Amino acid sequence: MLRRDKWRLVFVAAVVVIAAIVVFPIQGKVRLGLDLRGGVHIILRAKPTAESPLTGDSIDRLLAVLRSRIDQYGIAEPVLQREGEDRIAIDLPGVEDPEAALELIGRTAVLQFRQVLGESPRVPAKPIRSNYDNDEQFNAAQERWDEAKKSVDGYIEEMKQTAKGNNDLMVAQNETGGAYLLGRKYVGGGELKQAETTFDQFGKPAVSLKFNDEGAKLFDEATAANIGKQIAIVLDDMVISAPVVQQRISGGEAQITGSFSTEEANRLSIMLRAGALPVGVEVLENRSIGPSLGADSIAQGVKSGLIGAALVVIFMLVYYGMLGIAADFALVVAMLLVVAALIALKSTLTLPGIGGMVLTIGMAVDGNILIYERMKEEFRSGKTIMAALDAGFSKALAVILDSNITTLIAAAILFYFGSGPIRGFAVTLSVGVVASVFCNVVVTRTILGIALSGRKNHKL
Amino acid sequence: MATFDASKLNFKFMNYRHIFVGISLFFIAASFALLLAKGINFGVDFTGGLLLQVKFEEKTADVAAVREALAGIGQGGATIQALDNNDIMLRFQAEDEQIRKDVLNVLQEKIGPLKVMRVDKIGPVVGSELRTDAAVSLVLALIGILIYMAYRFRFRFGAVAVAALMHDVIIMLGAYSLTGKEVSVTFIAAILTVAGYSLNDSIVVLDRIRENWSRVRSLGIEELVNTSVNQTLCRTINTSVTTLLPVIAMFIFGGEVISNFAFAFLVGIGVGTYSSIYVASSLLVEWYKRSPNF
Repeated sequence: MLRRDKWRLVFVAAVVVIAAIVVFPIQGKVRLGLDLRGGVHIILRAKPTAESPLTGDSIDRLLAVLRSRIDQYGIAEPVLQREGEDRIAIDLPGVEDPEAALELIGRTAVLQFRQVLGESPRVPAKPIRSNYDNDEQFNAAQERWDEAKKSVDGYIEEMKQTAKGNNDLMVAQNETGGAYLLGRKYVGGGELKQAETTFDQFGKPAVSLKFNDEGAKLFDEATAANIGKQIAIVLDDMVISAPVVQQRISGGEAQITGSFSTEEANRLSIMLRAGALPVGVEVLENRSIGPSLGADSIAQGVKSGLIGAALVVIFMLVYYGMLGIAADFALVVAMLLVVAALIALKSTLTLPGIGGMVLTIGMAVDGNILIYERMKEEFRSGKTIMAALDAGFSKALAVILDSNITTLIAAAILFYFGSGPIRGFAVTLSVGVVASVFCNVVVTRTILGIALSGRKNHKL
Repeated sequence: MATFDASKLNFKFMNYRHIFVGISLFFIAASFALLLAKGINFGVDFTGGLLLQVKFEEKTADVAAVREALAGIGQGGATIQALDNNDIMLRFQAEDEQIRKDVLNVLQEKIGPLKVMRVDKIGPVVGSELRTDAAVSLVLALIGILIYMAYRFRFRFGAVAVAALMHDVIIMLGAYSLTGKEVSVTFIAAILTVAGYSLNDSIVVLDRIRENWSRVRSLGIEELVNTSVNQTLCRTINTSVTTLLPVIAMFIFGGEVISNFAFAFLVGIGVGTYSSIYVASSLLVEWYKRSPNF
């Protein structure tokens, strides 16, 4: 063994050992993207309203409210980030129910207790075909319903006309399509001290509220003034319920009942505790992946990676024989280095990233092929095996670098312009390219230097 | 050890260059025609819209039944695709919250209990931003590669390599138009990677031509290019084969997203191998014959 080969060997061994220490045991070390571990990725845009223009401060408050809601909902490792002027990117890993998460984040949750000035007639239930004997009866029922709906709509339209131009008045609908003409606001979410999920006397989920001193006083006055009349509980311009006040309530406690599930009551109390969003929001982008789909993706990615790697290993072995063994060994080292680099860089592995890694398996031996073909040429032209080895490496180096640099250019641009998953791909691809070149040029060379030094006249 | 001696190869590639350039031109023209006539099936990433993947817990997903249920709420125009194990993928043009709720309700009601596996909701603003980003990054990547090639090689070599690369990219787009496969942001990643990678083989061939260039007078350009292509043929093919092996594995075993991704590599690398043997070298020969001095 030549002296320089010894040093190379020490260097390669050190790199492999360090990489192995970084990588193993691998459990939990690679950061998985939302597309692999499941979760919700949302981009919100803050929308200014007449009362609350968009300022740096209102965005900061928006972030704080959102963070508080998410924390109270119990999501581990959420990421909330401000993006650009008016956007907020939210990553919620591991969330099973994206619908609920959206509801929790996207609702403004402005709560108001308001005076009821008028109520539209109820919209009757829509006729269902199976309740009628024949089409004629059904059509007649449908017509009756259309008429009833029209008259209710007309009534609502009239209320809207009344409310127009008067800032104290508003028209708000309830879930069944009826509407209320509402008067002044008595008390709102800003005067709340506590909100909790409870159950009403019928065992249905409800939200119990506790006002602060100011709110308690206002609520006391409101109930005193409205005994025997309705007070509407309005959330985001929808009337949740409009109970009739039985007696004056002085303790500052109230209960919201409505037709919600325990889950919904929980979310509502979280939103009321965390407070209303200071500005409106709009969901620009929402990508959600169920955890089981992510797990499937990992399994399929690993499977195709292993099969692909096996095919490449066999091909190199069959075509290049002993040289192929060196290349295969270098391939294993390259993959080890890629994983080690991902862990060390704290980079996130995404589904396209797995694709990039599998692709790297194929690209990693390209350099070896270029070197080996060159070595064969040099050997055929009459050089000794060691001279052919040296010439093969030094002459193939320029081509290897050129071809990999063009791939790196593409990867860099992808990283700069891409979003989450694509960035993951760009990172694994770049890391893969660098690791492969290192393994082609240094690792393979070391192995071959040692293996071939003993056999001066062996055939290549 | 390996016995195959590549030095004995002597295909007269350049004798047939007109035929192959003709074939390439035909494929490019066909790709353009397809792109104009049929267009590209842009995914919700670029158009804005809603993609839902749901898993029915009891029944196998029946596309016809799903379509009927959706038609009931005026969403019969959705793209419906059955995937493996009871999964179904739905794509809608509109993206508002109400549609998603309505669709999930009606499917649950008419077909059975289901689980939402994946939601991609892209607003029109984000869609158009992603489109711009994709276009800008494609152009920048091509410019970056051209600059690098111009720096490392003579201008002509760089130009023919980039021409071969454009050839690959255009045919890739044509293949996507032909198959109607969805073009999403991952496709942009694939096309840029192919752009970077398909140059590799061209670089190998061109590098060899450059090395042999001193013999251009004695051999003539055709023979010089023939020799160079033959000398590098083994590595051109082997590097492509080793890269294609894992790509094929991904295409077959990778699952919906990865498989679509792998298809782009499959076409791109396949065409790239051919173009590095024929397109770049043929162009170089033609160019030299028309103006030998450069």
